[in-house]
Amino acid sequence: MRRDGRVTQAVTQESLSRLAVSSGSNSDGRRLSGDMATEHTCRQCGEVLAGDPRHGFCPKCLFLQARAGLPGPASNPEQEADVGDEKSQVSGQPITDPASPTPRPSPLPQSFGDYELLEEIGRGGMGVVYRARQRSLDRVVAVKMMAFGPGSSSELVKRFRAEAVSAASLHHPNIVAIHEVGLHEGQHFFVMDYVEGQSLARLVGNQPLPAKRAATYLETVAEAVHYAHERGILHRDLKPSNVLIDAQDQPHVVDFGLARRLEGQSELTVDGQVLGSPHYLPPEQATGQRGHVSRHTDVYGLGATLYHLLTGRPPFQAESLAQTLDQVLHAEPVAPRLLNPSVPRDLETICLKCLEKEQSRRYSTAQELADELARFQASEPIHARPPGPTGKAWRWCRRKPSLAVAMGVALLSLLVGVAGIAVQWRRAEGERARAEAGEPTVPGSPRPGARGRANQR
Amino acid sequence: MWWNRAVRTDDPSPAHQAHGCVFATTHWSVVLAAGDRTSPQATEALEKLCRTYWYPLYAYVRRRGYGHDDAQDLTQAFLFQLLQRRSFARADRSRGRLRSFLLGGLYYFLADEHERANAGKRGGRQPVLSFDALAAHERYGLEPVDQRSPDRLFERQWALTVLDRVLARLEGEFREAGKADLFQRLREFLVAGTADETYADAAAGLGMSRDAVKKAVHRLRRRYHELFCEEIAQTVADPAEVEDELRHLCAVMAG
Repeated sequence: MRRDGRVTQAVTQESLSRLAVSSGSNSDGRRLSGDMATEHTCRQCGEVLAGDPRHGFCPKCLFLQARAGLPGPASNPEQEADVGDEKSQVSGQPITDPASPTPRPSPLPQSFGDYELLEEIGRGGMGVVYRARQRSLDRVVAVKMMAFGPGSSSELVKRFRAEAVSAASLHHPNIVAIHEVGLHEGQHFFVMDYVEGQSLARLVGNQPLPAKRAATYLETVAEAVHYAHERGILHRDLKPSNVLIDAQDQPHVVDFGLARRLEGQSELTVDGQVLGSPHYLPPEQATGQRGHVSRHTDVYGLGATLYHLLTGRPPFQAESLAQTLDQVLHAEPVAPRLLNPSVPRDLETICLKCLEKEQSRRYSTAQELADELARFQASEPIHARPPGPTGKAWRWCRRKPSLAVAMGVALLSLLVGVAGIAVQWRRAEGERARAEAGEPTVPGSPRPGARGRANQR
Repeated sequence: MWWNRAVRTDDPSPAHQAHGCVFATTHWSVVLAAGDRTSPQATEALEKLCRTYWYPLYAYVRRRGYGHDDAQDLTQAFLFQLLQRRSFARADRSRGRLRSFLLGGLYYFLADEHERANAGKRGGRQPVLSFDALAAHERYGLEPVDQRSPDRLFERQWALTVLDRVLARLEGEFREAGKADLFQRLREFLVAGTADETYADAAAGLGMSRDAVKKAVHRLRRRYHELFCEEIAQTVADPAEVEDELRHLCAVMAG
């Protein structure tokens, strides 16, 4: 991928294709709430949405729908009036580009084991989520099943089970609990709490939340994430759609599908693979640097989530995955106060500190972030400070190293030149002064007039 | 305002009818009819169009390599000249579309500006439309960095502007009718074939029958199409061009 003459080596076609798969898991969290809308992909063609979500559709599909009203072989509005089934099409033809990937729900299994499946409520990169009733306990739960059936690759199966195992060890009021992990007729599944509510992504849409409310949510989520970190588990895909808000207005973190243990014995994510949602990825994940993924990665995800709550949009967005990743690697996020002037300066400082490209400049733990947010809510001074001119200059140099070096060399040359001129100037002045005083200009040479007097003798 | 009268007349004559949408006069047809003469109606129509479509112009100038300040100046100067009706003599009116007219006009305008190379002549830096320069800058900063030519970027931004206008009007109509909640529920069905939830689920949520939801969705889609035609019609000289223009914009978005 080329940008401004630079080649972004880290963004490979392979990583993009993997990312495209993983981005499909965006909506799992929301789907747990029973809402099928997809925040970051087009409801129709599945394309990643950039900028204004336009009611969940990409511009291409919206234009095709507008064109569908025109007369001609491609469409017939009279027939549309008769379309009543859920797979509504115009003139019996799908209006999507045939080449576009259009996710279709798989046939719903009515029941298995102790569970009666009520409806499909979500579909992600690794699983399909159903709302289900657990007969023995007569309660509603969410059941996540492998999306690709018994023939899935062993790596996917392993990743799916790792998700369940890692999440099942977490017991926290703000983390969705896993109750059971199992295998039914070759189909892996796990059962978790069903949260009645909506995701933060759905709650926010593209309208920012009030700053205090956003800080309250994030403080709670950061504490839950810190709890998981203390038990050696990273989330690695924190974003608004992975936080559900229940009826009591309490946030719950879901989708540990990308989680891995901090100790890193997992082999599920090999070097170079990029997993996660592109708009909320930290640079170390965008470049697939497995060894560099740490707690700071989740701190970045928390900051990206806060950014979305404050501005109504993710920190980085572009028309394609490659372009988004390029922004993640090389661009600074637009200051939240530019997009929403009502954002308090301290909260902006906290948010941007989380989004630092250099991990060591972020908060070192999620708890540290939670404490900072608590200070903000209590109107106490926060510890973070916005970058000064030196810090901004340093960031610029890191973003544009070639230009920085070139400018440095030019500046150095200028300084050397000026210094040389100054030295020569002083020397010339000194010689002129000595000449006027009748002293020799060069050591050892006779003074002016001395030779004349010698000749006279 | 007068242009609100420009749509949906009772005149069913074929000359004014395009695919279920009925048009009388449009902004652009009024502007063209006025020619180089000034008239309050034409000026008002032109201002309205400029307010709607200034961002594609700004984006085009930026993609031509100008910085934010220069692009702001040049866009304002172009609009100033446009509103002064200086550029109409050069416009190829046979093409009949505001989009083509503006793109061609801006191309020549930038060529002239390059020769002039004197910022003081750009309408004295007097803004003629108060668009938010900072918003333009930030918005352009969010544009994807790609290899699109200025022309293609302009056309894509034009298409997106039309789309956003249509969506805003559609939502606004529901809101004004006190049916904002209905719109929020039905918008998931706006594009046919995307109904992941059944009509029955939506019906339950809205307290309506399934058939009523189906009809409401149909009306929503039909109105969406009508608004699209209406919006495009404002930018073409002849209603018969609406279909071609819509197909062209579809092709732009697909490209």
